[in-house]
Amino acid sequence: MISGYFIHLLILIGIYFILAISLQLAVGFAGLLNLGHIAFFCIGAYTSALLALNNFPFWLCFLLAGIVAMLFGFLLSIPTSKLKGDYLALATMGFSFVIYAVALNWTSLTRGPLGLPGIPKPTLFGISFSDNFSFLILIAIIALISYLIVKKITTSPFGKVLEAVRDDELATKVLGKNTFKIKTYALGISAFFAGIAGSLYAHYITFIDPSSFTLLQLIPVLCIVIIGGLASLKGTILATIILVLLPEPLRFIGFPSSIVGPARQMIYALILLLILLYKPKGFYGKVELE
Amino acid sequence: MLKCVNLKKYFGGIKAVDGCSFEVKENTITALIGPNGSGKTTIFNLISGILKTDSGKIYFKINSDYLEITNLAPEKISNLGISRLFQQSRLFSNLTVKENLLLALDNEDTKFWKNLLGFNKINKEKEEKIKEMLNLVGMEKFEDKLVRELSYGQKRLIELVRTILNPHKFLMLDEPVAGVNPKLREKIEEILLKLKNQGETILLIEHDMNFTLKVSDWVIVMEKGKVIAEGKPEEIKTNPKVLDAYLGE
Amino acid sequence: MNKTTKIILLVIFIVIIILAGIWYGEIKKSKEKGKETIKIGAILPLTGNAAKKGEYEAQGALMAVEEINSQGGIKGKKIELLIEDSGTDPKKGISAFRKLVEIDKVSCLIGGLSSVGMPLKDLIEENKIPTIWVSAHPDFLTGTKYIFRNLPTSAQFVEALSNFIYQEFKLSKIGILYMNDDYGVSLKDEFEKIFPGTILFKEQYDKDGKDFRTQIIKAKEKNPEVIFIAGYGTATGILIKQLREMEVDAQLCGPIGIAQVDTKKSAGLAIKGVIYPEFIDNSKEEVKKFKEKYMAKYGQEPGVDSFLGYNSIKLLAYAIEKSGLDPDLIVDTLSNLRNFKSASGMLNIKNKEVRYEITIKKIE
Repeated sequence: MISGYFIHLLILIGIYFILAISLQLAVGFAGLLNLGHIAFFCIGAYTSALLALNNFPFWLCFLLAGIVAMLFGFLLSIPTSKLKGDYLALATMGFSFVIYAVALNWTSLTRGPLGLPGIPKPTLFGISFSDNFSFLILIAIIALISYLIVKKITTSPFGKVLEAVRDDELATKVLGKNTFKIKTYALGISAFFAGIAGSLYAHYITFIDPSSFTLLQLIPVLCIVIIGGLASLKGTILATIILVLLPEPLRFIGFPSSIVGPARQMIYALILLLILLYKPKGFYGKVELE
Repeated sequence: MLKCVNLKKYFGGIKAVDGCSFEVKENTITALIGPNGSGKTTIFNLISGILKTDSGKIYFKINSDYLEITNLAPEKISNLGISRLFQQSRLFSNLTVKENLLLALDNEDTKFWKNLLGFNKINKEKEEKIKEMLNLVGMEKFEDKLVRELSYGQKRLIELVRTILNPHKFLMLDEPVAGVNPKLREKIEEILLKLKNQGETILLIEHDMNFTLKVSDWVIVMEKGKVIAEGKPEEIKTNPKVLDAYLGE
Repeated sequence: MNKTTKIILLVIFIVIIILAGIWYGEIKKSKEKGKETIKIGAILPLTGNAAKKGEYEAQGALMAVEEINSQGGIKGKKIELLIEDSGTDPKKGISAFRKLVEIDKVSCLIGGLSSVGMPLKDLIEENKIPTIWVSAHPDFLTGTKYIFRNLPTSAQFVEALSNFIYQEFKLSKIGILYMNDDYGVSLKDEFEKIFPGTILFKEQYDKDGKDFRTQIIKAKEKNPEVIFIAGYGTATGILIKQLREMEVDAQLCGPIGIAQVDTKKSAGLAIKGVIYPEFIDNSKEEVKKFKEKYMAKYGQEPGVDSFLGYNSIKLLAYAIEKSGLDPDLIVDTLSNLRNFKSASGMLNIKNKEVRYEITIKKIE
């Protein structure tokens, strides 16, 4: 009985986790303040949904979601490679607006505001993952594999080059490294994982429309990356669990109905603020950005 | 080994480099000196490919030919064998000393797939090389310290080590001993002379006259973006034009 | 105690609170076996950009619950309305649903917003929870047994409006300006389908826009006699204002949302003469009475969603009174409902949709 509720929360943790480590790769490790990250999530979700609704097998929808998102990541790197800090943030934010506008207006492809209903639950190797528990197993496996891949990347020498680009791009160039190529890879891989998170989201919620992919949706993910600590995968795990679970106990406190919505939101915001005041670099943050 | 021909770089109305030409001979330590604002660091930036020239050419000797390297991208310049030390600290502050040095050793770390699949391991050879260099500057114990936590002098040393570890045929050092205590200064002098004895070519910018005159084989003096004198250290010491330039600042 | 331990403890602490809450809920339930209540859940957008709608619906529903309870409840049992915030986010909607159904064990559900309701369809059917939802999405009811739509559909309004314009005004040259969300798009489609006259142009405008001169210039060129404005809210009001400012003097008409407070406010004087189909007719007795009560209780005018929330509760209460808590029986009772007296007048339920009487009104 209660398991349904809990399993749903664990599934959310899984999806947010993949989304968060993908953002962590770009922001925490490569120092690319990509405020357009939700666009990759959106592209992944729509790609997977559209393919699935046209009867493509799930594994293909899933992989293509990641690959198409990754291609957009590579593309985004081209105009933004010379931009730094605030300008990069603004440009990438602009990108997410563009993708949102496309989702909303290219109605012949995306059905615009009507969204895509009836996205089928995944089927792999003949097993249907339609019930909650099996979906949770699927997400857990994918989240684990994603974590392992990102961990391998970040602890390898390539990961150190990413951090070098973050700390001082010019110095990295002067050591003979092609930073444009490195940043492109960073955005692309980050986009890939955001894309597959999008695919999992679409197949879980079974209905997507543009309203799920606005800049607002980036805020919890950014919070997780910052509160977990920049460039810390361990911190990201912890922060995801805490940020997803935090609003739930508040449901059980009976506020008078007139203020129940805003009251819970305010308490949640307050707790986040307290965490940041106590630990400005996040739980495991060791990175100071200049 | 390096030839600069009539380099010009203007910043709006300011003529930072105004027709500068000189040559750095192989296997020498050449010093580039001059009062503040004479264009020395700008020349370095032009050679490194960080700034684009307004006119002029730069040539670098590879094998036995001179290759024109004007306005190539910084990473290409580095890979041709020119290694650069900056005036301000450009270490990777959130990485450890060891990690900073490993980044300099080669460019295998930029190969994404090779790294992802685990084919780029840090082998014994690399670790030993790093230990060796750290030993040389007396900082073996600092291998795993975060660069952020080092003092200014320690950072300069590590940065010098990093510049040297970067595979090179030509070293460009911008104020290697600025703000460094006398004992360390001697050590760096030793290192530079040792490198020269091993056949290396070094071009350096320095304000410390004693250090410069002690260590260099050749001195080039700049003022207001042009070369006003060059010669052996003893000659330059007594050159009236040079004294003028410095007194006049 | 090192950092890692502290953090792990924090996580365990949070998990314990959730478990405690769940356990508490179970205990409370068994204690209240004696004084049983009928639990109805509500998943509403109380925060986010639809917060006003959510607030209206919540207030209307609460008013209905209080009324019923003050008259002894349903067969002696009081109704307990459990409201959860969906924050316009489908993920939160699912969390809310699971909590309401699995932990609070609600018997029925009301709520609003298509983006939240659509993902809940399968869950509602699986759990057999009779649900009355405010949603305009055309696919909302397909393949469901337990869901009812409580929002006069655009089809109904458009039909009434189209008939009125074509017959009463005898105007047959019409253009359409439609908003870029699911509501606007589907309205435009409905109108196109049903209007027998000529449609001169179809221009889209942004629901958060502030300047519509481009679209108005295109509209003006075609010289329409009537313009159907498929939208609501502040942007629509600004559009109307600018239409008049740019001297477009076609007869303007629109859906129900065009007469809402925020549209009227941003249109100013330009709103005069706009006609729209209404199911909340202010000249009706029951509407006047509802407005009075609402004003007295909440100190503000009710919105459309207030009526809808109120009606949803009243409908569910009626069905529970008649057929008890069996979900299939509730659905049966509701499906064949005729001539039900609601806060806005008579209604029927046909094909799982609530159908209201519609009158055409002019804004004075």
